Amino acid sequence: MYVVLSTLILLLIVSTCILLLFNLRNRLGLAPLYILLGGIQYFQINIDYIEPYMILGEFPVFPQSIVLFSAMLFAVLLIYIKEGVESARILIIAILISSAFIIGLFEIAAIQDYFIRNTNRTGDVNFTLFPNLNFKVFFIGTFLLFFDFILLTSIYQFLISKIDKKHYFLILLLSLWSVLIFDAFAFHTVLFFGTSKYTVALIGNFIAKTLSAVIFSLILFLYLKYIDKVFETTSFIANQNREVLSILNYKKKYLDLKVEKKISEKKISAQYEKTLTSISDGITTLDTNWCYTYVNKQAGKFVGRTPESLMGKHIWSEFPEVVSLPFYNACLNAFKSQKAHISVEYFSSYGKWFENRIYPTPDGLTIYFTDITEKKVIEKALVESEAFNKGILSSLTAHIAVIDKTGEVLAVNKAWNDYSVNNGGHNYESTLVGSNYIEVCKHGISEGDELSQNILDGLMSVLNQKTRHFEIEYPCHYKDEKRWFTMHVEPFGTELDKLVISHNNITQLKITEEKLERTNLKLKEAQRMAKLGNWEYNPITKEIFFSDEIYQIFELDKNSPQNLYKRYKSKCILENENAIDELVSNAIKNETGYTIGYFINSNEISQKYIQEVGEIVKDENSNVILKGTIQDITKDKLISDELTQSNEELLKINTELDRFVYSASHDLRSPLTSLQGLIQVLEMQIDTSGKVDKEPINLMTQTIDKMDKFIADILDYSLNTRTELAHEKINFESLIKSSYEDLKYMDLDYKPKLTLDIKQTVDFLSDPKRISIILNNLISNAFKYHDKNKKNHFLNVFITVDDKNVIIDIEDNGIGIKEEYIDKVFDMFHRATTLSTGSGMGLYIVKETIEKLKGSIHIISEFEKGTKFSIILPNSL
Amino acid sequence: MKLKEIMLVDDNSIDNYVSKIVTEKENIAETITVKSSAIEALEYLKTKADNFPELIFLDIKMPIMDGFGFLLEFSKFTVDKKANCAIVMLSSSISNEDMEAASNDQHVIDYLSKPLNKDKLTKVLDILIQKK
Repeated sequence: MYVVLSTLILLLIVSTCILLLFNLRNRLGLAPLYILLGGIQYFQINIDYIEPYMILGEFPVFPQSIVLFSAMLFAVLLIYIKEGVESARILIIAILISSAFIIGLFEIAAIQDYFIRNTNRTGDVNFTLFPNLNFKVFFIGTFLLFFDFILLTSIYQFLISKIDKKHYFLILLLSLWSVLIFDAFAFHTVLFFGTSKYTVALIGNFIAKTLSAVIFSLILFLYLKYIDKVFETTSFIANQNREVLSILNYKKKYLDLKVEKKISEKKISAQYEKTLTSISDGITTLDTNWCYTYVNKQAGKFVGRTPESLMGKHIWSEFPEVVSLPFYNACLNAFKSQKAHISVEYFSSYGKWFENRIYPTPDGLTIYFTDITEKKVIEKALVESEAFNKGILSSLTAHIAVIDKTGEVLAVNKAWNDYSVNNGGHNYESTLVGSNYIEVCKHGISEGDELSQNILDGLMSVLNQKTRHFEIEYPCHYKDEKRWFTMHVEPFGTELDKLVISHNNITQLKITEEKLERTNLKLKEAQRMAKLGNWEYNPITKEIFFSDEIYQIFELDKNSPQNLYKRYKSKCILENENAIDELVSNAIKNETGYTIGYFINSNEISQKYIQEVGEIVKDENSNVILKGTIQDITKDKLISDELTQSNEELLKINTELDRFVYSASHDLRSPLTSLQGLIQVLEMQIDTSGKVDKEPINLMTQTIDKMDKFIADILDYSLNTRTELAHEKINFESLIKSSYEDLKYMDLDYKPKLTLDIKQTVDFLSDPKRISIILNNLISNAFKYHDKNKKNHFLNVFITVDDKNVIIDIEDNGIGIKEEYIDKVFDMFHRATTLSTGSGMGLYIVKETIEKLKGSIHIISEFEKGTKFSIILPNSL
Repeated sequence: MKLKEIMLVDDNSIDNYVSKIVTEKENIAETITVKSSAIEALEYLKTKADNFPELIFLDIKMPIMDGFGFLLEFSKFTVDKKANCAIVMLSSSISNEDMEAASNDQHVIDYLSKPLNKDKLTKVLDILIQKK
């Protein structure tokens, strides 16, 4: 019992000493531990001779030896785990050296003692050299110890790489136990194999060493876990990733690594520097006193300073203007809270936007500046453009929706929504966002709506990318309102798997279109009725437009692909084949219009007569365009030809008649004058004889004169119709006087008193011959039809001339005209009185002549009192 | 005053007869030559060595060559021959055109309508005297 207790006390002391020294390694170094362990080794070797303890009464063990040996393994394992390969190796060598050194010293001391004893001849003469040491045991033990150390670290390394760290105690136990057992086996086999002690000693050792292993590994585990807290450090796990035999080959690798590390460190730091300077971000680090400890090139550039000039400077002193910015507070907060801050703000002094990422570090702050001015500008533009798009979409009158390939309405614009709302709840629900457009179409199809079918087909063809675009026009009358819409469908999205649908209200357009169509129809009708077509020719593009009626007139096929102008020309019958070409090119060159008539070949009536009018019109770009009409005037042409012909015939007849009247009257007059001459001769001869009654001769003369006057009247008449109007100055006074004088001799018994009053301030221009015909006739009438019952005859002529007219009043106190005849006095061959000696032509000629002069005549007459003619003639001044 | 010679040119023999008697009655000329056509009258004038008649009464309407044809031929005679020769148109035509055409000829001094009588003859002589 005491043995067990003392063994336990020994174990505790040794392990406590080891752990104490290990814990103090930072202050004392590991040397005391090495020495302690060396001492333990020496002590362990020299306790072989002591009395063994019988476990279970029959298996001999040396508890002290086992405790000390286990303690050494424990120490090595501790060092290996905690201090690494290098320290463990030193420890192993230190143990071996120190134990060897102590043994050596002891042996020398013993030899010295031997020789002193021999010299003194005192003491036991049998005292042997090296009395305590079993060298065989020592060497084997030492060698085995060395091997055990290596085995221990290797097994540990092996186990830790294979077994989960959760079972760390097991790893420790197995490592210690396997080495202890191996050692017991090896040691006893070498020293005691074949002896009677061998088996029992082996069993005893197994039991004792197992116990020892359990206890030491428990101590080690508890120490590592609760005192050293080794599991909580990250380096612990990393250190366990060593090679199994790292205790042997660690050194070389370590050196290689050292060199490699140095090179790569150099490389990394160079790269690091390079990266920091070349990075587009500005990077600065600040210490806890707000002084710069690092400024990269870019950061310097941002603030317009060199990095060197900023190093060590106080940031807020260098840039006081920044203190007022949120950036300052962000830095303070990051520093206080030790949390990263990001601030985005505009630095007006640099005219730039920066994103500042502020990271607290143990030494102060690290700040990354990113120039996001460009990004901000783009962002702003993007926001604006988005607002713009949104604004446009909502301001559009077209109803726009986006649907996906399943038909779901993804988005709609304002007009779409408004339309849905205005067209009733049902419509609204079936077209709002989230409803299914294709389903609505299918619903329509199930109700037999053909339009829905067409729309669905269109949607699918665009969705399946069979067409790029789909458009349909459809009526959508609501209540009493007539409406028409167009629907456009276009693919949308990067995959083109969505559709943009837009509905446009085209009612106004449609109404206008219908109106236009009606107007066009009317125009067509009018053209058809008038056989009139219009055409256009663009000299630049050579394009020709014919209205439908032209095709009809020319009997041309509108749909024929052949050249229209050639076909048109082939129909025309022209003397000069290029007449039309020349006409057109001249019109364009001189910018003048033209009119041309020509015949064309016709299957219907062999030939048609065409009147073509061309006019120059300028379009909005001042380009010359030829526009005109073509009219089928065959009927008019026939009529006008006939008219022209009959007119010509009439003219010919008239001329012949005139010539006949002239020559007939002349030829009739000629014998009359001869007769007058003969009567004259006869009178002359009678005068000489003086015996004959001259009355028959006078009557003959009168008859001949009357006939002569009649012929003269006819000549006057013919002259009036035949000759052109003259424009000469009229001297009324001389005309009237000569007329009066000529007539004075006509009847010697009658001489009316002539009163002539002419009021004239301007010249009067007219045809003198015709004026004198009028005046002669009227004045001669006054002579002819004077009242023989009256004594004082008068003839008043009042003439008033102004620049427009002349008014001629001729008044007499003759026989007058009976009322019933007044209307007829101007008729040809009418004679209103039995007293008349006239031809019945006089007043007729007067009236005709006045009409020719575009004047007028009025007559006021009272039977047996007198007659007054009032004439108004225009002044052709 | 008495003229040396008066010539009457008219295809109508009755008119020539009347004109001749009227002229003779008035006794204004020593000789009265009567020609029944313009051609005959022209030939007479061409053969005439001494002076032309001082007065010629010329009709307008005549066959083959009318009065205006005669005037055209007459204008071709030398100035000295026709210096003392005046022509009076004597026609039954009262056409304006004829009158105007006649008045445009420098040798025509008057236009008379037939028949010739004492008054008309006196008027012609007055003009002739004024002219001289």
